[in-house]
Amino acid sequence: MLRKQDLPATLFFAITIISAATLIVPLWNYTQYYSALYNFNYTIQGITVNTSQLSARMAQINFTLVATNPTPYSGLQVGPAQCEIDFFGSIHPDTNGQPTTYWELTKLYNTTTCPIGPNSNLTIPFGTTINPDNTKLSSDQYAAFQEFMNYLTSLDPKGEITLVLICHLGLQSFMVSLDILPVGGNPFMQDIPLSQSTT
Amino acid sequence: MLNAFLSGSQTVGYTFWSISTAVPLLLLFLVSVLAGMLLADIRSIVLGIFEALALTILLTYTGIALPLLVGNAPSLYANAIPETAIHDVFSMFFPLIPFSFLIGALMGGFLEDWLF
Repeated sequence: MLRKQDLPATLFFAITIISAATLIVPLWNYTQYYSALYNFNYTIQGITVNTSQLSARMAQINFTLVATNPTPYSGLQVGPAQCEIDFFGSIHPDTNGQPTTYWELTKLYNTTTCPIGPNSNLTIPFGTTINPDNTKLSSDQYAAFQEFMNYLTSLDPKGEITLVLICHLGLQSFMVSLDILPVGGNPFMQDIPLSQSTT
Repeated sequence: MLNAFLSGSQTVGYTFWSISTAVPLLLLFLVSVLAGMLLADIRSIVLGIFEALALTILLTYTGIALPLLVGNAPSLYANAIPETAIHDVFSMFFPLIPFSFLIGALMGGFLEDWLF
C-alpha cells in the first residue's frame, strides 16, 4: 500500500524512468547526425535540352536535383535551392578550341523546404523554357535567350555549346557542365540525354 | 536588457519564452519541486542543487558528444563536437536552469513541511 509520504519518491522515480526511456530513440538517432551531415549529397540527373519546338523559337531545359541521405538519420531537410543556367557558346571555335562567349541564361528557384527520410532520395524537378519572344524578359535575359537561340539554330559541326548549371543549397554549391555537340544532320530535334559530372 | 529578456532575446543561445524552451523548463521546475520534497531540509536541498547541476551538465555534455563517443562521427567533426558541446551546455544552462532548480527545490522543501 502506497503511503502519502511515498508519493513524491514514487513520482520522482517514475519520471526518471519515463524520461530516460523517451530519450533512447532520439539519442540513438542523434548519434547518426554528424554522419548524415558528412554523407549527405546532391547530384543533378537527367538533364535534357528539348529542341523539338526550335522552329517556334523555343527550347526547354529540364533537369532533376537529387538529394540523397544514405544514413539512418531521421530529421534532415532540404532547404530552398537556387540553380543558375549559363552557357558557353562557340559557333566557330578559336584556335585553342575554347568557348568564345559566355551568357547567363536564367536562374531557377525551389523555395520549399522538404524533409528527407533515412536511407532515401529526394528529387526536385527543375525546368524552364527558353523563348526570346517572351515579353516579360529583362533586356539582359532577352539578349541571353536570343544568343542561345542563335547558337542552337546556327550551330555547325565545328561549333559547340556548353551548358553550365551552378546550384546553391544552403552553404553547399556545386556545378555541372554539359556539352551539346552537333552530331550528324540535325542533332537538336530531340531530347538529348546527357552525361554529367558533379563537383 | 529587460526589453531583450521580455521580447525573447537570443543573446544567451536560445529564446527565453518560446514553447520549446518553456516546457522543458517547467518540467525541470516540477521535478525540482519533487526533489525538494524528498530532500526536505535546507542543507540537503542546497547541496543537492549543486550535485544535480553538476550531474546534469555532465549528462548533457555526454549526450551532445555522444556521436563522437560511440565512434559515429567522421573525423572532420572530431574537434568541433566537444567545443560545440561545451558551448551548448553552458549557453543552455545559465541562468535559467540553475535558477529553476533553486526555486523549485526550495518550494518543494516548504511544500513538504506544509503537506506532511
